[in-house]
Amino acid sequence: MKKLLAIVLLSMFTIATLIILRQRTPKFAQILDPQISIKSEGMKDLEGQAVKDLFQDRWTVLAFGFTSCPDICPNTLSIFKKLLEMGQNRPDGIQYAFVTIDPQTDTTSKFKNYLGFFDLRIHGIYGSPEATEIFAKSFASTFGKDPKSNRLYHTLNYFIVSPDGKWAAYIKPESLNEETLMKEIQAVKTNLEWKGFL
Amino acid sequence: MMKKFISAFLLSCLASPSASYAASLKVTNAWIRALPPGAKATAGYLVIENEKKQPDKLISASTTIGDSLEFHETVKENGMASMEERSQIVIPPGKVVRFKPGSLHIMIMGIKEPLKEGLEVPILLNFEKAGTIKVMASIKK
Repeated sequence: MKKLLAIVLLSMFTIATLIILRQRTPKFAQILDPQISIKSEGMKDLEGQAVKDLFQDRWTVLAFGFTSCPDICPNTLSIFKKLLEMGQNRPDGIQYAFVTIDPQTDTTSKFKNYLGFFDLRIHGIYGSPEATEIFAKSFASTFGKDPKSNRLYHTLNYFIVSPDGKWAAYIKPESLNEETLMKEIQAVKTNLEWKGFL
Repeated sequence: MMKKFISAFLLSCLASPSASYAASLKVTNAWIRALPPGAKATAGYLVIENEKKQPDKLISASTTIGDSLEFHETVKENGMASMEERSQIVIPPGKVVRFKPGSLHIMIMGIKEPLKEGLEVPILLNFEKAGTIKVMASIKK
């Protein structure tokens, strides 16, 4: 009898979990299965903390850019600021980070000043050009300078890192508003947290 | 009295072609991205609506806060973003052209004044047919 009850409870729990997973499947974000290890040697945040430690035990949303970028990057940072404000009312344990692809121009003081202008809670990540390239490659991304125009190019995607410090998902932010982005990030988080139970 | 009426009538005739041209293009929602002091370039955004039956072209722009303005478009290819210059922007008849983040923008270079949030600065837009249209752009994050 006890066995039967256990089976019934277990299957109810599994069904409930599956329903939740189904409801919380992101519409725009792509979840990676399996998650991918990140090569972050030599990458630090502006407080001097190794990126590996920064990523540990927290969900992180990160984007790439540079401080003299006039259009996309300020937009990303003002979106991150809004997402942080939305998370304030209901603490969600999500941190936001911005990686400079132009570490030679973006000195730490310049970088700090730039991020602080938007929101001091956004973590600035930097490293040598070589370390940054390896770091970007772990996210299947690249960056560089267009030889014709001399302008920098970089990935547009937002990358979601799980509390294990692994690349777990990405979102193409184009034309998504902050509410949708927040829903997507939450959906990725819930989805992966519940998957851990199964 | 009659003289006054005639001169008013003539004046309105003279004024109407340019007025209708100006009214043919509506420029709204102009804003400029606030950036920390020391920023060399920023972006301006606005919406242009062409209510006329003929196309027009935005050929240049100027502002008091920057030395030179160019039209740029953020181009997305294979998930990568880069910027390309556009020498002029065609505003097709009956259409709305939106300068917005991550897309078409006015690149403002040689920033002369701090891009302080809340300030309003003029942008002069020079069109091929409609001539110069002045809009006030608010500076915001």
